[in-house]
Amino acid sequence: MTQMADSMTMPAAIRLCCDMPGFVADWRRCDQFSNFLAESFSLAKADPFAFSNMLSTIINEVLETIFYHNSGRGSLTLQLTEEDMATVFRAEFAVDSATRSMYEDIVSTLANQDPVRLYEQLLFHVSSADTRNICLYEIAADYGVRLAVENGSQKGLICLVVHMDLNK
Amino acid sequence: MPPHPVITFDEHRQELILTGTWLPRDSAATESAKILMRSAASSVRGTLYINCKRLLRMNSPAFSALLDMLCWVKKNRPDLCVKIIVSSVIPWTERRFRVLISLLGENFSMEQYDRQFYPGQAAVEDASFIPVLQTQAKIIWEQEQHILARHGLSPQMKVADICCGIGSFAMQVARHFAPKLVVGVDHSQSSLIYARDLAKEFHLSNLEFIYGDASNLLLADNRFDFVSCRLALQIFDKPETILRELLRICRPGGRIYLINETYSRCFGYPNADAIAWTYRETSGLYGALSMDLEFGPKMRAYMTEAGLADIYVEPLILTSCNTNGSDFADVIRSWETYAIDQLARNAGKDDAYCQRLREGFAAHVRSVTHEKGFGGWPIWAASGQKPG
Repeated sequence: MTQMADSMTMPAAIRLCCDMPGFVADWRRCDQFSNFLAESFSLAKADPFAFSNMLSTIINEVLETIFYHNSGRGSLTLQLTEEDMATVFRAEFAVDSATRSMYEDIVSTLANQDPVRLYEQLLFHVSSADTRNICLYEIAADYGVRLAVENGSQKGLICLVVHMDLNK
Repeated sequence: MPPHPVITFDEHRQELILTGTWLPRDSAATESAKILMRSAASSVRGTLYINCKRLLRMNSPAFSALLDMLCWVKKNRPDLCVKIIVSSVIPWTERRFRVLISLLGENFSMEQYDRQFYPGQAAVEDASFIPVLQTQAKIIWEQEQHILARHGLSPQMKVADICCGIGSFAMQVARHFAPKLVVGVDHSQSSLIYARDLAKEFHLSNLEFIYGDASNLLLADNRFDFVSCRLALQIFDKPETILRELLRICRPGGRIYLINETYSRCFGYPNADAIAWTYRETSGLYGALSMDLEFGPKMRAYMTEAGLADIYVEPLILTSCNTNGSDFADVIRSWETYAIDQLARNAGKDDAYCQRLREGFAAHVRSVTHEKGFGGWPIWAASGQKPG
């Protein structure tokens, strides 16, 4: 918890907060938020369009996962920063213990197995009803992002952290 | 079936074209797309192309819908090949489809269609070429700056310079015409890096340089007041495709501005015949690579066909009287190097032919540097208005 509290209080490049019921009320929020964050964050990049296109694609996948897997209450805090040459996206939101376990399992599985093989399994061998969290496997397999789950700034919150190297 | 907002099928080209942003909420929202794609896959023979050149974004449910069709092909149409066409301009597509293709196996492939976009790309990517490009840009600008107002460029405009190269024209416009914004687009990363660095060094803030493909621009419709494309339509084999894009991004009432050459008509005295032979031949060598360096006088026809109004064409002839001879000579020498080392050698021309080419270029250099000589390079400027 301490670690996340520190990182969430450090100066953010961009931070966006909204209430979770407002977010889950409209599917288009995933697209709107990912576009807004990515475009704003990319303004100073050498090629703003290319950077923003890649970044919004990844953020949208994360937000679409959160859209289906959250407690439906509290707030959603999104933050984009530049850390050690990597772009880091953090999403802090409330979850119940089962949902928290789901995120932790995904992160742990991705850390210990080949993301492409895991993604292949989901893509070809699991029914579509079971693949609402495929997005996280997909961004790990396709774009090489690294995922982590940290404690949120308050009890009952988690922070999903996505490390991206978009300068490749 | 109503048209799908993202997917169209061109049966003549056996091509499914995915355009724009496709972010369905769930699998149920992709049913019509699945039907359309499977129907397309059922109807073709040989190769099915999936054109993702302008697919800006796609989420998991959309990807699953596409995968559904690809798996159906794998199972039911072993006779069919599927080729996914992506553009380097949209970075996620190459990474995402590369993984997918590796999982699908043979009969499925991906092509980054703009990898070899310009036949002369290697020369443009070569950093040693930049000083010559700078000199060429400088000598053209000296004449061109005086005609731009006639072609409709005025202060406070939003300007797009497509195929901007190292950004010289865009920067001059930013300096001298007080635009609201200038956006330069090019397909050469090394040129863009150079352009951005220079713009930063010169503190030109109303200027953006972005990576893009002129035949599939990702700029919004009707966005710009003035759209320029200089010495570029002549190097593409389908100039009408690019012209269509220039027209699309130009606002109604705005103007499209082009310059192109008649390279074979480069002239000089003395040794006029040797010069004329060399440029005719060199133009032919470019022609063999589908580049039409005689495009200048054809602009009016292309602009008329594209639907432009109020078309105005004028000569923009650089001569040894209006241009610094030493700069002009540097540019001619760079043409010589490229014509002989790249074009003639690659076309299998012998030493005697190359020597004769060399003599013509040398004569042209003499014509523009000698106090009694006279030489020139004919360029043509044209502009037309997008109807309101």
